[in-house]
Amino acid sequence: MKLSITLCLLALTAACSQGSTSATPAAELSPICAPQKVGSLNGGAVTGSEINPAPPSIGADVPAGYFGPAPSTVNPKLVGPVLLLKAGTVDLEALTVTLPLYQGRLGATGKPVWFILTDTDDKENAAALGLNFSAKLAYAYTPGKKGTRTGTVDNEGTIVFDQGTVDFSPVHKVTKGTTTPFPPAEAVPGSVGDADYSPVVKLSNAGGHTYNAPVLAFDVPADTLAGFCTSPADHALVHDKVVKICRGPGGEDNFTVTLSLTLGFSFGRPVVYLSTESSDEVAATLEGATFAPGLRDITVGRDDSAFSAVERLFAVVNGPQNLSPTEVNPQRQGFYSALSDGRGPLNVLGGLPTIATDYSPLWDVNLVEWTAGAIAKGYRARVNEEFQILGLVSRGFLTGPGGKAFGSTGIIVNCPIVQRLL
Amino acid sequence: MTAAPLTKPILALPGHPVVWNPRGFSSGRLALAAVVVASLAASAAHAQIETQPPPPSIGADIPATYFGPAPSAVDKFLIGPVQLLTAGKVDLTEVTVTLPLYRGQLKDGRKVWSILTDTDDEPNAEALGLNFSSKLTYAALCGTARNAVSELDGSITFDRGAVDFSSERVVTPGSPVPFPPTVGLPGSTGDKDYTPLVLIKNAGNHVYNAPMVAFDVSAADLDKSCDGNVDHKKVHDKVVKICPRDGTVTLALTIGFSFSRPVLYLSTEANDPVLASLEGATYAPGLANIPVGGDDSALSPVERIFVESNGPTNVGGEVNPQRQGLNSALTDGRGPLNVLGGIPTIATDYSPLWDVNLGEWTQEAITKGYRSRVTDEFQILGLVLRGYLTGPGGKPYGSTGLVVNCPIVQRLL
Repeated sequence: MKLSITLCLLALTAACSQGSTSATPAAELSPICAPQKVGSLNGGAVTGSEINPAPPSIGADVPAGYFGPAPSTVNPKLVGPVLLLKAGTVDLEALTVTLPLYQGRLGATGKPVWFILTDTDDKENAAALGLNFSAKLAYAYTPGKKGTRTGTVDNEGTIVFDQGTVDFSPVHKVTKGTTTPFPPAEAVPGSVGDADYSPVVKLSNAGGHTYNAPVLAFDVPADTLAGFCTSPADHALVHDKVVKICRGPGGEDNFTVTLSLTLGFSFGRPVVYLSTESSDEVAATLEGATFAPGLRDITVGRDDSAFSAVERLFAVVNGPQNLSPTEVNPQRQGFYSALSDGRGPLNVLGGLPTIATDYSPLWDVNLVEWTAGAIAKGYRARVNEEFQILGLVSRGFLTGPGGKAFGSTGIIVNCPIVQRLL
Repeated sequence: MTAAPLTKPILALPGHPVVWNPRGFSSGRLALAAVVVASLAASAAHAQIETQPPPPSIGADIPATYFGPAPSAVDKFLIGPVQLLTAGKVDLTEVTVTLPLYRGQLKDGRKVWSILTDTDDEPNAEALGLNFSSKLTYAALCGTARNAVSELDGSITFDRGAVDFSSERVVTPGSPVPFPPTVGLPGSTGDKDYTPLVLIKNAGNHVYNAPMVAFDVSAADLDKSCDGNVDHKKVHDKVVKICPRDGTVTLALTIGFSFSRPVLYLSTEANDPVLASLEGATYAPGLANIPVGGDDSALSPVERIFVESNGPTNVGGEVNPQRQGLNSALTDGRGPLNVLGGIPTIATDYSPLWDVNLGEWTQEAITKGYRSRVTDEFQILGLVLRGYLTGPGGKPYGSTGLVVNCPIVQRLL
């Protein structure tokens, strides 16, 4: 909750002065503080057009049909679109991914646990299953800590989890701040894990490997979920990112789930990713994700050093904003923007598969703020690359929130990468 | 030829006509006082690399020593520094590369001193540490390569192409807008047959990029510049040191981007005299027939380079972290930070022959605060698509018809 504390110190908004970011009823707020339909910052409201690469034929004398294929079709490490989470089918128009939905159960109660698989530290099975490989996930587990759940693959081929439940019944609510849009005046995550919940699970068998297995529904009958194929998903029962759950293919026990994606960048490349959990209530709310207290037991700040389970994600507080509701600023970015226009914050991710070796779906949130001096001089613009950001930090144009030292906020977001757009 | 030292004022020639006129780009005629203009391409040599990636430990709880190696150390296709022109030794402090110096001659016996940077012979590119460019095969189709043979003594005999290095490079910024310059005289000029490309008949008929760095000068004369002190009346403006005795030449590099990665490259020739003057390069009329505009289509020998005319400029005495473009470069003497298309290890479509696409931020975009440094081809094309970047003077965006020969040397990231 490092961020929540910081937010109150920074903003002194009405909601913060009431000592809570989540419990204030909407009716008690002044009109300016009333919840607004900003949606979650990730998924839903954003459209792909904002960062989709333009056709290569612009400005050329030949139409796109005469261009050779994207270099990434020759080698996925070259520039061009690459589906990374190959287990899924991506719809770039709708900005969704459809993945296999797995049913497991909670060992103590036998209650059904519905989850997806996105990442693992088992390299061969990652390739076989179309998941992301993350060597760093091996460092997420610490005995006696709650950074990972534990589980076992049973005879039926599903996971029996030893602990961790999620309550999906809360209503997601975000009210932007009064003085500045961020920090929000009110932030209530749409789903909350119990004290033991982490999306990461270390298996006692199956090679002892660790998987990223975000829970999308808990203790819900299969037939109820199947109803979300033609009717809108009930977000009191399922994760806020769920767009659709359908039976099939094959037998009655097979399901697919369609989830909203988030836009961002990694080393200048536009990307789409899932955002499913956070270790912080406010961040979970902003992300439209589940608050997962167990993730607090994962160490942050150590980036690419030995035994570090995280990779850095750079979020901007006060990037450029739209000048009018009718035109999208090509430089827009950050939480002020996202809380004001309902589009995504366009966060900058560190390393991804095919770009670097240090990918982890557990992102250590580094929050940056443009200084007043940089803004006055016209230096503020969209940033899209880690070392560009670190360079701006080293020159003093970007700082931590409120001019504080730049670095980890202490907050983790679980954001499995899905696709490079370039 | 004499190129003034990079920080020394260059006297403009009053009233000299401007010849920069690519595809209808407007020119002017202004006589200006003396101004300081470094080579736009080589000016980084006396400044820190403003795009040099900082240490990854900034903002982390651990020092850089505890970080793993750059991913590019594991696989050159991943992020991190990668030297691409491995035939050379790069000095990131001086922003130079030291390459093997190749001796050769014209048929009439006059000496030709060259470097080798690129070829369409992939195995030999790998063996020699050159850049591989399959597009170079297409460059020779339009008569834009010299012919040559490799001799028994290892030298190359060229059938044609001479370069006069005796001129003095002069660049005078325009006024009130620095670009286009009122005067742009290249420091070296090739004859009508000169192109840096060469088709070596007895080496598999492969095409090499072999920019000439000195002509009709003896080894003994050049050996006087083994420790620097070069005479740019005799050698290319980019030469910092040249030493036939050691078989090396040291050349100034240029800073740019490719798909948001900061890179260093050589800039040695252009097919336009004003552009050559801006680049500190040789004007090579033999490159005039290179077909442009075809980008990555069949038979296209070029790759696109994206140049901004009116990117952000410095504010006061401080280097603007967004600075970019020709107005910046002509004002502050730093490089224009051009954006390259594909280079090896990032794409498959690299060519050292860059088709100059000149972009101009619209007044509307500037007024709305949308102008910033751009670093990626598709970012630029997206801004063009939305109308915030156009061709010069609001004209349609695309090829200017100009070509620069810029072999890639190193990825910094």
